[in-house]
Amino acid sequence: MSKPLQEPTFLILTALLEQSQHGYALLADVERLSQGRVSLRVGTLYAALDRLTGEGLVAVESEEVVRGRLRRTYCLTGAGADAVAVEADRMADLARTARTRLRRLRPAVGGAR
Amino acid sequence: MSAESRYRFLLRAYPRSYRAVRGDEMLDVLLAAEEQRGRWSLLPEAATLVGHGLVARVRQSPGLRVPASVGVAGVALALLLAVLGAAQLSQMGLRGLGLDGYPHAWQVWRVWVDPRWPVQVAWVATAGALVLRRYRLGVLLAWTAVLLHGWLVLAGIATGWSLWWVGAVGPAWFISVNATQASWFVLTVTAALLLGGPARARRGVEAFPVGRWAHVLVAGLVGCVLAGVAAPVVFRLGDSMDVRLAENLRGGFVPLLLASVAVVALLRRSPYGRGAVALLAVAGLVPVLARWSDPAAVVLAGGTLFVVGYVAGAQRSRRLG
Repeated sequence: MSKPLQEPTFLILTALLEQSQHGYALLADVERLSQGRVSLRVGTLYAALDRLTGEGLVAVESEEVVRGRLRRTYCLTGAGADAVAVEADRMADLARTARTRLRRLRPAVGGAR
Repeated sequence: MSAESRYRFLLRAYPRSYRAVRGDEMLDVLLAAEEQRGRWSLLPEAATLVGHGLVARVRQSPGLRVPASVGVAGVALALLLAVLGAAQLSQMGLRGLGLDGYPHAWQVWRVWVDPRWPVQVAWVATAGALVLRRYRLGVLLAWTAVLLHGWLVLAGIATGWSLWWVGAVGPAWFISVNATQASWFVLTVTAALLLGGPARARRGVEAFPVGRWAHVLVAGLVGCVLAGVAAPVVFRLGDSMDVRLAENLRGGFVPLLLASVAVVALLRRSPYGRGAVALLAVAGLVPVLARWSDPAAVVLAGGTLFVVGYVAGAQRSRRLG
């Protein structure tokens, strides 16, 4: 059984599901996906990208020079998409269990949904 | 200072090789993020960059495998403390039996009592546990030694300040807390901190050389303590006493020399790091500095510096290939 992904890692991978993105676009997309709740620091983002690249979940798709500086665009690999799918299933299972128990405890609240 | 130079300065926390690959890219994102989030984000961003930068440095440097090398230094210091503890314990035993010619000032039913003996027993037991690969027990014993030693120092200080109500619950009337005692306490705490936890102690023990010379050295250290115990008995039987020879064999220069060689042999073969060597230097020098007026301490300080210098030199030459 694979280890559950940390929330920032899950959000980065989910952001890359839609399209390949460069560093700043990823920061903004993670913030948007989490509805402003997760605001990644640049150091944290690159530490995560280093790790995910090393694990083969993310790859560098292209490199270009913008305003005299190198900009890399990152994309999700097949293994990365699998990891997101496994995590999404795990979270869905957990949510389903929580809802079932809520319905038993408070039918009016849990059952209303 | 412009935003760009500020972030370039912060990015220096990362190793040069990392900056060569990622530096410009990260700078671009940092500037864009500040434009979007405002300058208030600088402080947390700076803390994150420095933190991740230092982690990247530790991971990239072959000489800075912190957990392993720190564990190695901890095991080496624990063994050194154990040797000195065993030497002192043997001395106490002899005094208890009236075989060393010293006045028997603190006796309970002819057994010479020193309030420090539980600390020394704890260090000898720590070394035993580590050798037997009982790492959890070893670390527990090391921290027991620290607690006992801390209690003695605290009780000594309290008595010195006439806080009789603290002294009354401790054996402070046996000892006075001088600079040497306090500095040995620093050494004890350092050793326990270096051992850290069972996993770190295990890596330290596993990095120990197990070749023929290691066995010779350990046998030599044990032999010194035993010979130091036997010498006064032999001299006593011959109706003469050479306490100084026995002292030197037990806790003097011979075991210290052997222990130093053991530490050097260990550090030369294991994946030690600069951090571990620096910690050893500090830990070794603290007791010596506290007794700077003692000629033996000056010799010991010179010896410690030599050992550390040799190890650092060997490390550098190995890194340079």
